[in-house]
Amino acid sequence: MMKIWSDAWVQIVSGVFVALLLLGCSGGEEGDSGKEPDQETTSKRKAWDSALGTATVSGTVSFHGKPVPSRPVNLSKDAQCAKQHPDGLRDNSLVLNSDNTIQEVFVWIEKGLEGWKFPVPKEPVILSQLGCMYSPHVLGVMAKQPIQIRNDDSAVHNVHCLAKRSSKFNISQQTGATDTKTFKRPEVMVNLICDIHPWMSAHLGVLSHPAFSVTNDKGAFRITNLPPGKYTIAAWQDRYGIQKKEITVGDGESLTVDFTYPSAP
Amino acid sequence: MTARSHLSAGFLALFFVLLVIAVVGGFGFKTWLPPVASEHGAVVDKVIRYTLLTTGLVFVVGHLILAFFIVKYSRDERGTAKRLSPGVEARWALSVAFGMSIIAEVGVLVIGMPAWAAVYGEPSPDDVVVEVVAQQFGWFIRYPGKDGKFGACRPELIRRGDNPLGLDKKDPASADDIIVEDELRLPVNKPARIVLRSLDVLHSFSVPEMRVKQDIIPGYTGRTRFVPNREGTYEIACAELCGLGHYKMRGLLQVMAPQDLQRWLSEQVPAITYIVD
Amino acid sequence: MSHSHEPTTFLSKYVFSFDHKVIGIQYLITALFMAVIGGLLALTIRYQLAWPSENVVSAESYLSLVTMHGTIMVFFVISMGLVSGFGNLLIPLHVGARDMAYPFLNMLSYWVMVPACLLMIGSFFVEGGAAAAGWTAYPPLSALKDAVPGSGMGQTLWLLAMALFIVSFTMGSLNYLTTILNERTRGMSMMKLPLLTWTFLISAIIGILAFPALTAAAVMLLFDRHAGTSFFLPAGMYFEGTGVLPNMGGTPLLFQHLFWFLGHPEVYVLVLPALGITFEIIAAFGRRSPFGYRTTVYSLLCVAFLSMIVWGHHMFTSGMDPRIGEYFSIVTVMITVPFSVIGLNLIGSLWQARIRAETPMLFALGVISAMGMGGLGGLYLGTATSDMYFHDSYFVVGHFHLTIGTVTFLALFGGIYHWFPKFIGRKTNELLGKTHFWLTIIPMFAMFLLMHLQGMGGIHRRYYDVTQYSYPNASAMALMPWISYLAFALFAGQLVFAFNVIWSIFRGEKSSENPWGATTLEWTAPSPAPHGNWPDKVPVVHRDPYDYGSDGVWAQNVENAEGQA
Repeated sequence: MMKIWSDAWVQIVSGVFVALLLLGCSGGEEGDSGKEPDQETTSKRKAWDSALGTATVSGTVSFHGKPVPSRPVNLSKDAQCAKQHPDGLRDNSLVLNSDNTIQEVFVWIEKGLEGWKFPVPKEPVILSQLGCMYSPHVLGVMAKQPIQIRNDDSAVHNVHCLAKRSSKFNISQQTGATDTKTFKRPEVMVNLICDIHPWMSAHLGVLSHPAFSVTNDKGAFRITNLPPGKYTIAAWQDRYGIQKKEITVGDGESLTVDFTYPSAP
Repeated sequence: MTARSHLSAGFLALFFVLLVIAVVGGFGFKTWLPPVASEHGAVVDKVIRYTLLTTGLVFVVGHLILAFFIVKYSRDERGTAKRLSPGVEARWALSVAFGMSIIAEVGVLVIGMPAWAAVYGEPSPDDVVVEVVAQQFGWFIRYPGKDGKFGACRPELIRRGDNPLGLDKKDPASADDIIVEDELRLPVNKPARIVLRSLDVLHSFSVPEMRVKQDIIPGYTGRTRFVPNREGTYEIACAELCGLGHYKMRGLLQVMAPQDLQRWLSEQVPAITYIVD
Repeated sequence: MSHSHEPTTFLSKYVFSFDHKVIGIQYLITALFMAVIGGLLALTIRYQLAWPSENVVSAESYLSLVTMHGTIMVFFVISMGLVSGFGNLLIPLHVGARDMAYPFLNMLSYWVMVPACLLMIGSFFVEGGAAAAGWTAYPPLSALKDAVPGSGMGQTLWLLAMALFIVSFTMGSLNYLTTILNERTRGMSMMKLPLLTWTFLISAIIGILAFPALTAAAVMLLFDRHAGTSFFLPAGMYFEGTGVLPNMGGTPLLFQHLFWFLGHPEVYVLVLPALGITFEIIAAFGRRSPFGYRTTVYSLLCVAFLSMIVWGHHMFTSGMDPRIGEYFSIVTVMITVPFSVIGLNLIGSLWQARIRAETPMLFALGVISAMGMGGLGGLYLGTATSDMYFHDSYFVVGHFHLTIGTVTFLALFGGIYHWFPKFIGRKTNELLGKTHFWLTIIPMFAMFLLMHLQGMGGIHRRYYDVTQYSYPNASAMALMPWISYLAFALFAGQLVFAFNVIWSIFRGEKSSENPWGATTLEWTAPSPAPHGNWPDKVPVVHRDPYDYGSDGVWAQNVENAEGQA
């Protein structure tokens, strides 16, 4: 009998050991990402002095050449969505204005503001799901700033966040639902999709500073309140990716920078 | 005590009789199946009807005997508790078992096998070949175009906006491939061979009216084959749990006259038109 | 012997007890507690299904509910209550032993089950929620965090809880096997064992053979999840945001084979003891030896064998080779052979009987009916051709709820009413018991039969909102709220049971040693049975387990007039 008892003990002890081991492994994974040093918010940085922000950078983003046509989207799977778009919908990874300027390009200061610590706005950025689309499709937000994601649609959506540096999430939202999320770390761009409606996507530029802009229906952007200095300014377009330029602005100066996609002519 | 016991036995017997009436009424006098729309589907329905009939008979007889025994043998307090010899008991058991196995195997082999063979049998060169690719939570339908060949797809080329299947532009067979979402169009009365792939997890291609259900395994190319024989629009459902949008993974199957399908196909723009380099 | 040193402290008497009866009751109480949780999950599921527009839960929580309801009910209620609970209570008493062969192992098996329960319940509260890949936990859904929210920590805890469950269940099964084979009292030959003990023996054997497959699958899945292996993950899986996964060479089908290699035999692990309980009750309340004791035993053995070679019938549409599908179909419907023998023997046991339709008997008779319906419904699914239509529909849901839900629950209740006097020393209230019976059997049968009709109408299972589709038969769709009303009624009816049990523990009519006039050995021990079961000598067996004659009833230990069995 004693032998059997000890065998049982071996089983138990090894079982518990394996369990702890596995728990440890999975716990460790989460822990590691949590411990990653957060360079952008280290205390070495100076608090932002708004009196310094005198310079402005603005410009337009335009398209050069003949674009590849956008893929049509089939809305038939969800009657609620089809109803709201009687003329159909196309893939919105490239939205051109009539004068060949590009809408929804995210433009931001990539380098040059590392020394400053900017206050994080308390008021949330709003990302709405309306007409089976994310609205806006491209937007900027500061790290740790609340972002309110809401479903203003008659259809059910799920918000699947594919962040790589902050935690991912995947939640379904009924009509009228609201969830407030924050992103821990800067990341350009964070992609949000809806798995139920594959044509839906939102792109979030998450930054440690407020120096960003999204091009409007004239293809124009405008970044204000920059302190004088040397910067790398970057633009992100959904289909064609990132372009960068080096700029220098003086005190109170207004600089114009233009971008052209697919690439500089 | 005894009177109450009789009453309970009577109630239970009555319950079993009512159960028989309800089940026979529920299963026997109403058609629950959605109207069938494929050739082999008629055979599937035949198997179901056969099984309904035979199991129904066994169910009714079994429950009536059960009810009868309950009433009859709860009345006789003294009773004989008579026993049969083990040999006689075994003979009873074996004859019932023999009858039941005949009933069951006829359903599987004699009636069911032809439909199974029609779905999984050898493909014929006349088959209309269409690829259905499942992804959380939708269907992509790909027609091979005039060359009858599907272009190569590579998952590393997948981009949601313009190249959802990762179609390889360099493959000449890709040039005339047509990709649409969620709407499968098939010609009526022609055997359709559906090539099934999944980009992510398990899915299942289910069209109830066609009596077709086939799981789709990532990493495998599966197939199913059926002959739709009634024009109309049917729903494609996912029948294997695939995530939170499983219930929303709805597609449509349109069965149309062959010339209508040809016309529609000729209006479609090849998928590579939309692919951004 | 363990009975010689009776435990004295509270801890050793009621908590870490070695006594099989205490452990059996611990298991039963834990199982009933888990049943309440499983039941509440079911009610939430039913609410969502009947009134989807109210969105009482989110789609991802719905999948967690479905997964956890299935897992808890199959493993933590039925396996635990019926097999671990009644097995521990009755096996030593049935074979004439003072305790299990390994009392310490027995205590350990319960205390391994407790953390398994806690982990399972705890998984609801981790990020992403409880496991959501179905109780079958098919990968890739269960293997990848990207696939479904519940596939994070929840799934890991699910797998760990299952691993602990299997460890515990295997300890229990080994104990059953050894006790039944080695601890039988003098005269208790194998063919004198009560049928219930036979079913415990067979389900222990099936469990020992089948569970390792699931253990292997669970460990491999854990490795796939946490160590980057690809047992179940093929090349080229693409997820938005992650891109193409680096895995290659695995196949999800392997998991399905391993899972169902356990999953199907598991059905019989649950159903056979339910049938065993039914045979015991019918013999005692019909006061007649069961029809065909030997053919029943051989049929049980035949079921055990067949159960190990038919797992593929859960996978007809899975994409495995269609020729293998035909093989599985042919052998699957061969299960009709032993089961029609068992069914005939159950009904035949009523022939020429002297039925007293008291509460346990009502439940036992209900089991016969449910088993009949469940078995016949199985033919639709076992026939590969019709399964093409019925697979993953509500027909399947109705079918397995009738077999491993209704059959087992009715037997569990019947068993509790039947053996309550033995272990508590008091009888349950007969009127409340009968009320409970009717409040259970009517909604249960109605619910699950209506689900069969919904399956015929083509409604798919595991849908958060079935109204997304318009193809199903309109009447089948209209049944949704009615099934939910029945589910609520069923749950409410169980309050009668709870009240009856609690009231009877304190106020029930005092019971004699053998209140039902039954013949098996447990009825020769005092009620409640003391530590060591029999105060003096262990009984010696002289007779068949069910010696009911026209002129009297003899317990197994009564010496034959002629001096032989």
